[in-house]
Amino acid sequence: MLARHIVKRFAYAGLMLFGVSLILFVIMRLAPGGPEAVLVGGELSPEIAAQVRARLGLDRPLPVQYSSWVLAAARGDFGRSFKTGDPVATLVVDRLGPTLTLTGGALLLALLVAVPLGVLAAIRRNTIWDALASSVSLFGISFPSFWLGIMLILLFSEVLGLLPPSGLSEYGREADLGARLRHAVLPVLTLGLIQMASFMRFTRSSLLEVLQQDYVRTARAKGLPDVRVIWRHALRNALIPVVTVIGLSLPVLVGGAVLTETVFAWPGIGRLAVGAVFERDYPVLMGVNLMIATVVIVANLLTDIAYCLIDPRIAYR
Amino acid sequence: MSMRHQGHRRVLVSLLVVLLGFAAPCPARAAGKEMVIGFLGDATSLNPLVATDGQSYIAEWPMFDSLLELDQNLNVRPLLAESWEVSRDGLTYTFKLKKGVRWHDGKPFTARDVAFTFYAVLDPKVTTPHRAYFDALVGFPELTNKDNPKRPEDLAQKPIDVLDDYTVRFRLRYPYGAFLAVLVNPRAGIIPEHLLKGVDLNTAEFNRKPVGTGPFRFVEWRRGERLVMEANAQYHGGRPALDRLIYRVIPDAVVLLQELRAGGVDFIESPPLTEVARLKQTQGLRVLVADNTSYNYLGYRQDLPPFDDMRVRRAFYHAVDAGTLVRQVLQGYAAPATGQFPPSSWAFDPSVKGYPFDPARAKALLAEAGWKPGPDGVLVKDGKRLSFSLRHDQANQAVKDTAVVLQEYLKNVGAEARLEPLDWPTFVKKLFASDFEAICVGWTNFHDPDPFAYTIWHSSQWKGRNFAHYKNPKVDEVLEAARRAGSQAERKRHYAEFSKLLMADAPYVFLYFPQQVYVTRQGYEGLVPIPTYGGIYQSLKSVRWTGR
Amino acid sequence: MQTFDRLWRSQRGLVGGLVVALILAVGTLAPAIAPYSYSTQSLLTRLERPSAAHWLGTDGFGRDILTRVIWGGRVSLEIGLLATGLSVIVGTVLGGIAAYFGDAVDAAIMRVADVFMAIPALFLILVVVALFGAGLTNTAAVIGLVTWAQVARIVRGECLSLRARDFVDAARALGASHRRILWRHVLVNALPVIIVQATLLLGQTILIESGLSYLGLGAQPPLPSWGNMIVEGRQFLASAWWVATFPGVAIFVTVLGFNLFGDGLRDALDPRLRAGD
Repeated sequence: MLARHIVKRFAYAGLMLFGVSLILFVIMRLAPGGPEAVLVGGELSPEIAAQVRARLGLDRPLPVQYSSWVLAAARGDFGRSFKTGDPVATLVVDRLGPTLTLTGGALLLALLVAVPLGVLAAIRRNTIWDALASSVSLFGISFPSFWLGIMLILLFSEVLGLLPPSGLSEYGREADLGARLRHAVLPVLTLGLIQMASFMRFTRSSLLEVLQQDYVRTARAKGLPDVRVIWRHALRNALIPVVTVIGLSLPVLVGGAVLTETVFAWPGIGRLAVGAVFERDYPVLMGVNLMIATVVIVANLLTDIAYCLIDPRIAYR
Repeated sequence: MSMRHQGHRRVLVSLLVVLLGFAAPCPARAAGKEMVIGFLGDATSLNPLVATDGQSYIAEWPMFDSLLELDQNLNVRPLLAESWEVSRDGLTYTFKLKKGVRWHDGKPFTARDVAFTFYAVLDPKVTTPHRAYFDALVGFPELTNKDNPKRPEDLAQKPIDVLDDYTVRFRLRYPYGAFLAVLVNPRAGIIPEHLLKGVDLNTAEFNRKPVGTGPFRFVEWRRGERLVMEANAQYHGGRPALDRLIYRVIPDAVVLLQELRAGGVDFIESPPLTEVARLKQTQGLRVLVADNTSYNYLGYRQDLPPFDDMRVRRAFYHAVDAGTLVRQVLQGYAAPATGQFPPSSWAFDPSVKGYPFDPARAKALLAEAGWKPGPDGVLVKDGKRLSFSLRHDQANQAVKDTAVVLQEYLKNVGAEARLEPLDWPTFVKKLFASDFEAICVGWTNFHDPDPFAYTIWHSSQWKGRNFAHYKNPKVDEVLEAARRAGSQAERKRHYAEFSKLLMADAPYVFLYFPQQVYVTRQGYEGLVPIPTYGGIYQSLKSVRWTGR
Repeated sequence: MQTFDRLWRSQRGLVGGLVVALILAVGTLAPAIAPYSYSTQSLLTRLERPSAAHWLGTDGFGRDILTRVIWGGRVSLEIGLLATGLSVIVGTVLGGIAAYFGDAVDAAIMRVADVFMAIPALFLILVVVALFGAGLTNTAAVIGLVTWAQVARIVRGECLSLRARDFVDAARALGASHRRILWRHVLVNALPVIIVQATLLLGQTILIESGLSYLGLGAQPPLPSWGNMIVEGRQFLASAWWVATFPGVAIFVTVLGFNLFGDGLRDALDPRLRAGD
């Protein structure tokens, strides 16, 4: 049963990747403008533009372009960047590390702060603690993240002089873990703050729900100390659904990384994507998008499966 | 206290230690040995032939030398060429090359590399916008024919001859006064034949891992992050004083400025102009200013109403107070424009004046042209409102600010400009398709007057850079005469005539030539702000650290 | 009424509600209460400190910042309401259809929703706006069309649980038509959830707009939005802090208000949590 479910989900995942690529291709190619202006710059002339389009294969009919992209992609060939001529696969894979560091760090930070806050808010419901916990977690999503990032840079670099403003590390110090961590603090903090609110909210409501269930009430009625009831019985059950939220939060995190990476000059997927959009680097855009979608879909698949395994009550259709 | 609690405490203490370790002030970089230059964007290609956007020019420049380079007065001086001779009829240019120059891979540089480079420029399969600058070469039409290009060997007379290892000769179809000027960097870097013969230049791996003869050699390029170069110890002009040159990409202008203050970057260009006064007073930083050949203008389709009426065009000129715009928004870091040529150019004619700011005169001219006050403050003629779209690049801060100010000035005389900011690729495409009413553009110019004066204003160029569809037979005549004139004095006369004719037609509102502003850490000496686009980067080879 | 009572009692919801009401009022009345025109420039009095004439100072073109903050609120709200409206309508209709018809229809709609959920919303919005041009309606439409999947999921879930309940069966037994059942019962019962979602989405939309402004794709000048005001004012941070700070505060207060209000509403409406009161 479970095996069939997983196979089915994989088939869906493949179909979804196809859907994602088609949607993006259509959007991209219906739009005005093209890459030639970026490639040639201020000295462009119509003649040169036509030549560039022919070289990039943009003069072929759209269905031909799409099908040849799909066929090549199915073989693992995602083409080359219009801009620099690098293989798209290399570009994307090179950028994956920094993005995973950033989103992973942010996810971890958000969980470490938000789950305890959620628990606090739930067990002290409708008290000042509840309000405080909400406010703290709401702080991060009530600010434009680029603004928050810049403020953090000004505070920690200009005013306090503690942390470097941007980048992955200095040249020649890539192996220095301390330097890399120092560079990572501000971007991780900026991105992590965005995610705290939804984790906190979810933990809170999930725990509240569990706390009202019979077995918890019974345990409490039996006179077990609150801390133990919450820790032993309630929290574990309450945290199961939080696992799902992690999966769902990935697109939000990656989306947030687009801005965070731009602010902090962080060479990740998000910045690659922003650059590719403005430069009309179609192959890179398709590659990035496919990579993001794959990561998100696989993560969802994993949480789904984990969920089924943890909680046998869930029926899989 | 139980063991478990002690464990917790130990973890806490070590966490604190780690945190404090982070918080230690960042150690200063070994200043002096290297120079980190911060940019908002990254290069496209490191091959001078196919790299043609501004950022790529600046990136490949330190790695490639050209035959000649510019001095501070925009005159040419020798670089890879030691000397040259021009025949009396102005049709042959013979260059003697420097001996003992080596490519970064150790192979000797010879005249064959020069011939290879310029034949590649002429090769229609190679995507390069520089080809048009070499129109004067013998056989240009045959060699660059798109459908059936001839090979140099098949020509009766070859445009480029290798006379010996260190002598190369160019032959022209007609005397071309600007010929030496098109042989300078960053548009004419020489590339190595031994690495590129038979290779598709458009997609060569070389474009990402270049080998040149320049003062710095390529080390690594992490796209969108940084480009690293190191000193070329064998450089023919002497080893540069800096060990290493690092270009960092930092897309946010505010963060870039902060990096400069924090010491992560030693040099930036184009700081927010309002901040310059403050930066000048910041200890440890120095502000450098250079003139530029690029200009910003308000342009329109000359063949569309209402812009086909000269009175309307002159009225718009009177409506705009470019002086206040420059003083306030640009903080004075721009030279007012009175036409195509910058004040620093030899072709500039100071006797040509623009139309002074005079809204009353503007309104009178518009009334004369038949425009009457409408119900909503916008003028009306034959039931049509004086309203048009004003397209511009949304990413260029100076252009964006200028467009916003223009809109307000035009509104004051009863014209409605609807701003349509477009991203650069879309904008450029519409530009060359002549798909616009009005535009506000920052246009890159060449240090020599010919290439852009001719291609922008000659009526044969309607399908090219004359996308505004300007046409004046007299201007055509003067431009052709200027192009074929041999001496600079003669050319100067023609261009003065051209400037007068142009201003009389008022095809654009020529606004200003923005200056290039740079900020560097004090202690780096030897930067020379040459008044052409990115000219300061030519001097990186002579920059040295004096330790304050 | 009970709901309203609960909302009243939760301070967060109340505070949020007040902020939301205030912003709506200011946005609606912008033309009447703004002291100056949002576009009139005065280059000679640019970057002036807050004063009696200009309470919040002037910006880089000498425009009154208070005026622009007020109008910016209107613009942000317009984008937000348009986007949220679209998102809620599309999401509700598709989610409702999926839940009601089930099987193949359900599968098809929800797989499309999955596709939209798998692409980070901000990324997709960025692509579309960058390629097709930034503008108020464009931006709002895109945000709406990209975020419908969240709403559809919630509505579908809610409808499924309602469908299982007795009163829908009862209605059907009484001979009510399909559409009647769908609208009358299921959707009306799912409305509270939709409202909560819409409130939170409104706050999100303001942030998305500011993020797009950061990348140069938000509301375009001279129209003020809080997002593009921050972005334009950012370059003056060291010499004229007020240009970017006031719109920044406006965004913070507004989005926080929407979030608090949404959270308060959710708490007040959530039947599963009522027993705890």
